[in-house]
Formats: sequence, structure tokens, C-alpha cells
Amino acid sequence: MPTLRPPSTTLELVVFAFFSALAVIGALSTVLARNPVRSAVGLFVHIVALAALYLNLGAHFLGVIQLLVYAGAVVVLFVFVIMLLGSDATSPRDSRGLAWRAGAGVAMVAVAWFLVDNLLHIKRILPERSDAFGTMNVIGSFLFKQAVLPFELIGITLVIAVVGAFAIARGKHERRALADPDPSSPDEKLADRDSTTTKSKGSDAQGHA
Amino acid sequence: MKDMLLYLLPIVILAVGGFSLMLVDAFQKEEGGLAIPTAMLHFASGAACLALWNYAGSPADLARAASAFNGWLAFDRTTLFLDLIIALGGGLASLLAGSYLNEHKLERGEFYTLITFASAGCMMLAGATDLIMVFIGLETMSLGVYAMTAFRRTNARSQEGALKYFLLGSFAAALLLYGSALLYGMTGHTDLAGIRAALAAPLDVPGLAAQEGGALALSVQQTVRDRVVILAMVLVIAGLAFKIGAVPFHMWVPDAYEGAPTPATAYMAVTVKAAAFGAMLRVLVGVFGDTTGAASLAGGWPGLLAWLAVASMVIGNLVALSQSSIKRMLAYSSIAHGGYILAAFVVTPRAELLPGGEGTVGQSAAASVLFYLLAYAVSNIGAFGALMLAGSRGKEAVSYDDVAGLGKRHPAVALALSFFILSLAGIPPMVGFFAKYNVIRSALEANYTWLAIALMVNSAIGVYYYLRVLVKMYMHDPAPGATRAEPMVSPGIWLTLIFTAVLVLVMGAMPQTFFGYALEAVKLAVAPVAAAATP
Repeated sequence: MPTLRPPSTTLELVVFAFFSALAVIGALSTVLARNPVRSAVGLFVHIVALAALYLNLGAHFLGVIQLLVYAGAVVVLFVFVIMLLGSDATSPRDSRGLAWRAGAGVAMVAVAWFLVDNLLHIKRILPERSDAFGTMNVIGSFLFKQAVLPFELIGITLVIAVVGAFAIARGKHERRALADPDPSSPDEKLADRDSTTTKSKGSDAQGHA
Repeated sequence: MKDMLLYLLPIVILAVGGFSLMLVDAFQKEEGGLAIPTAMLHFASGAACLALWNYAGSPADLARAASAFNGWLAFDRTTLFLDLIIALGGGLASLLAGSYLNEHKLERGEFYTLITFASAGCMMLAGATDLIMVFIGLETMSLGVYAMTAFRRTNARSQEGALKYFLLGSFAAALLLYGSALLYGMTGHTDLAGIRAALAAPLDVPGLAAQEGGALALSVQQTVRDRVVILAMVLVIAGLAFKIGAVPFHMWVPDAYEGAPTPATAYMAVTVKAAAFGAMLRVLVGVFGDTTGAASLAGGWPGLLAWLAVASMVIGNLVALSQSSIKRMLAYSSIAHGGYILAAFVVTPRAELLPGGEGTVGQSAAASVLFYLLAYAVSNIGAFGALMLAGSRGKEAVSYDDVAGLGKRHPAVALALSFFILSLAGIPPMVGFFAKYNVIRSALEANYTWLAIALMVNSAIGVYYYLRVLVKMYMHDPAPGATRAEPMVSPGIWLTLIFTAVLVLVMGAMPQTFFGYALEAVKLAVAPVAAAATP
């Protein structure tokens, strides 16, 4: 029978309550802290609390990955960037008017209220958790059997992210082959024309330009 | 497995090609020369779409493909049609990039890798029948486009546009993800067919109905689920509407379009739109398109989209009127074009789109979405190409003043720009007119008269600012001492423009034939066909 599995034991309930509260506190301090280092620490707390919630729900693999990737890599990267910028760097003051902020706040509270109000009433829609749920075995066989297509295609996503970062980082420097600053020299115009018609000739001509 | 590779051919060509481009770029001594191979890759991918067209012709084919893909991607003619637009847009944009980047000293091999992988991402998005695939495709496409926007690293506008695009885009992706998570929570499925089936069936909780007051409890559960599903649907629409730049999610469009190198602008205007509209077609019509079923959630979204469409048209056009930069004007006009396409969407949820449905109103509306995307792709690539051609290093054609008197100085370039601008404006012999005509006809067929009128009024406003470019080119002289654009010498761009112009004219001469292809593309497909194995 499909049922939303409530925290069954008292221990689970206590763990759930504790880490949920911690997650909320972490999230709030991420957003509200003025000092970026405190924000990063808040994020760290939030992420660890989430990982604990995953573990509590039986998603062991997800919990470990959450710790490894987010707490281990992402937050460290954040701290690294903050250190590069200087830890006393603060975000510029929010110059938006009170109306905007109030509007955004009301909208957020409305959506949150809507969700809480509705989700509290949901009892029996979600499927039941099986014992194998969240184990390496199940995730592995799902990933390499049913989900092999998205698993492979995500490779493209990762590569394009790396190439994109590289393109942006490298773009700061002028290119080496065509450093000639004079745009109107007849040689270069010729080179341009060549480069668009034939590939190999074009790159030769560019080399000479 | 064999089937899977065959069906994936358009994406596989681009993915393998992208990696090869990276290798070539790493080992060649000089930069450059990758434009033509990149274009060839795209055209090969497009050719694969054409070759596969006949293999997606019957429900049996589709079912086989669905089982080969395990329900992650659809291999139907809608996908192939959209993939073709993406391949065409990507190929032409990389041909343009070959000349433009060289002229402006931006030639770096990464651009071509980015464009190739981004096209692969667009194709994933266009074919996705699972919310996870939608997200993967969306991110692949977006990451590539963000990086291309930031490609002019020394240019402050490029950086500003890219940062805005990136931050707002991430936010939109988060909205989409949140919506997907809620949908999963409410239905237990991420595949569109599964979500659709779960929503169409009345909620059934074994044992609950038999209990005391069970019927009431069940109806409460049903109401709650439907409410949350509607919120999820709105979030998904918001995420996708951001990608197509519909008002009120359009803030990034002018800055990103203006800051990006012009080939990247042309690329993202065309392919990102095609992919995002494809995903929208599949998610909205495929999942929520059922107007008659038990859940009947389609009641809400056409109205919502109608407002998005009208707001996009009106705001896009009105703001475009007051621009002094042609690139920005084209950006706002792209918002307006997005609005026109959304107007066709409003009509699509007719029962006949679903498997086994009858009638043609919804089908021809969906077909006019595809036709419009194709028409917009060729016209827009041409317009941006001609704008590129009109400028050279340090003398780019950006503002209206830059092109003043271009008609006298360089009649051929001015003629090219005028040609594509007229197609965008929707002047009859060109294809742009028929694209708009199809949308208006669909709206009228479905008794959305007010929408059709809004579309016509807005097209008329559009003609004003499009014609301003022509007036400036042919009837004004440049102010003395002002910088003016000097056209670059580029046979590559000329070839691209001639090719695009031929497409514009051919499609304009035989609109019914091409509309027929679009109609064929949506006939079998739009709704996810076979409920695949639940992931």
C-alpha cells in the first residue's frame, strides 16, 4: 500500500526535528549574514544538516555524496573565492526600495504558506520506501541500466562547463597568432578573405599576417 | 542498442564532433580554421535528421524508439524538425562566426566547441520526454550560451550581459527544478508519460475509500494534489519562459543579446528558442494538454500563456520602438517574436493532439509553432549576418546612426540587411509573413479573436521600427564627423546570407509545403506516445 512513510521511531523523529531546525537556521544565516565568511559557514551547516536528513530517510548514498560534493567541494570553493576577494569584502547595500522587498517577502510567504498548507494534508500519494532504496546497488544498477542515456549525456554538460570556464578565463589575453593591431592593413584583409574560403589556406595566411 | 545509436545520430554527431574539435584545436599551431568543420558537423547532424525522418513515420517506430531510449528522449518527427532547426541555426551561426571572430580578433577555438556542445544540449532539450532530461539539456545548452555571451572578455557589456544571463538563468533553472521536484512528489514519476498517466487517472488510495469518511478524505487528497500540481506547472512554465525570453522573464535578453558577439547572438536567438519551445510543447501539451480527463489541468495554462504572449508582444514591441541600437532593437523584437509563438501555444491544447484524437485545430497550431521557429531561424540568422557584414573591426554597425547612408555607400550590404529585416517584419513575399499568418489563422480557428487582433496590431507596430532601419540606410546621410560602419570583406558571410536568403524566398514561395512538413511533424508526436518503463 503506497503511503508516505512518517518518521516511525522516536529516534528518527528526534533526528529529523533537530536537523530540520539546523537546516533552516543554516539557510537563514546564509542569506542574512553580512559577512561572507559567515554566509559560507551558514551554507556549510545547512548542507551538513541536509545530508543528515538524507541519511535519516535511508538515502545513504545521496547523503554521502551530499557531504562529499557540497560540503567537501562547493563550500570549500566558496570559501576560497571569499579569501581571494578578501574576507572583509561585503556585498553592496541593497538599493531596491521597500516596496520591492516587501513584495518579494509577501510572495515568498504566500508560496511557502500554500505549500505547507497543502503538503501537510498529503498522506498517501508517495510510494513506499523499500529496503533496498538508496543503496549503492540499486543506484548503480539504475544508473547503468535504465538511466544510461542521461548518465552519458551529462558528460557533455560537464565538458561544456569546463570549456566555457576555460573560454572565459583565457579570453582576457589577446590571441597570439594575430596580434597585428592595425586592422586596415591590406595583407590582413586578404588573409581574412582566404580564411573564410578555405580552411587550410586560411590558417596559413593568418600565420603570415 | 543499435536502434538507440541510430536514433541518437544527430546528437552523437555533434558530441563526437565537439570532442574532435577540441583535439584539433589543442594540437594545431595556429588559432582559427574551425568554423567550416563546425558548420559541416551541424549540417551533417541536420542531414541525419532528414535521413531519419522516414524512420519516425509510424506509431510502431515511435514505440520501438521509446523502448530503445527507455523513455528518456522522444524520437519523433517533432524532435527531428526541431533538431533540424537547431542544426541549421548552429551551422549558419558558426559560418558567420568564422568571419566575425577573425575580423574582431576574437578567434579562439573554444567558441566552436561551445557552439557544438550547446547544439547537442539544445537537441537533448528538444527531444526530452523526461524532466531529468529536460534539465540536463537545458543546462548543457545554457552553460554553452552563457560562456559564448561572455566571450568578448575585454568588453564590459559582454561581461555584464553574461553575468545577468547567468545569474537569472540559474534562478530560472532552479524554478524549473523545483517545479519538477513537486511534480515528482505528486505523481512518483519524472517521465512525462508517467506524470500524464498518473494525473489523468483519478487518485486512488487503496483502503482509504473503504474507511469511514473515506470518500471525503479521498477528495481532499485529490484537491490538494491538483493544487500542488498547478503550482509545479506554473514553476515549470516560468523556467521555460525564461529561456524563450517571454515577458516578465525578459530582463536578461537585451543585455545578453547586445553584449554577446553577434554570431552568438544569432545562435542563441534561434536555437535556444527552438529547443525551449520544443520542451514547452512536450511538457505542456504532453502532460497538461488533456482538457477532458479527470484532472483536466489544461484549464489554467492556456490563459496564463495568453497573458505571457500578449505582454511579450506589447512590451517587446513598444520598447523596441525607442532603441537606438539595432542589436538591442533585434533583441526586443525577439521578445516580441517569442510572444507571437506563445500565441500559437494558447491554441494547442485541443484534444486531437493526444493519441487517437481527431480534428486539426490544435495540430495546426502546434505546426505553426514549428513553422514559425523555422522561419524565424532563417530570417534572424540572416538579419544578424547582414548586421555583422555591415561593420568591421572598430567600426561595427550597432546603432541606427552607424548605418545612416549605408544604402548609398554600400548598396549590396544595405540590400542584404533590408531583405532580412523585411522578412522579420512580415512583408508578404518573405517567409516571415506566412509564419505570422499561420499563427493568426490558428488563433481565429480556435475563436481567440482578441489574440489574433493583438497579434495583428503588434505586427503593425513592429513594421514601424523595422522600417526605421531601412529609412535610416537609404534616406539619411551620416552626421558629419560621426563614426560610421564600414562593411567587412567576407565571402563567408556573403555565402551564408545568400543561402539564408534562398531559404527565406523558397519557404515564402511554398509556405504550404513547409507547413505541411510541420504538420506531419506534430501529427504523430506531440504527446509522449508510449508510457515507458517507470524509471
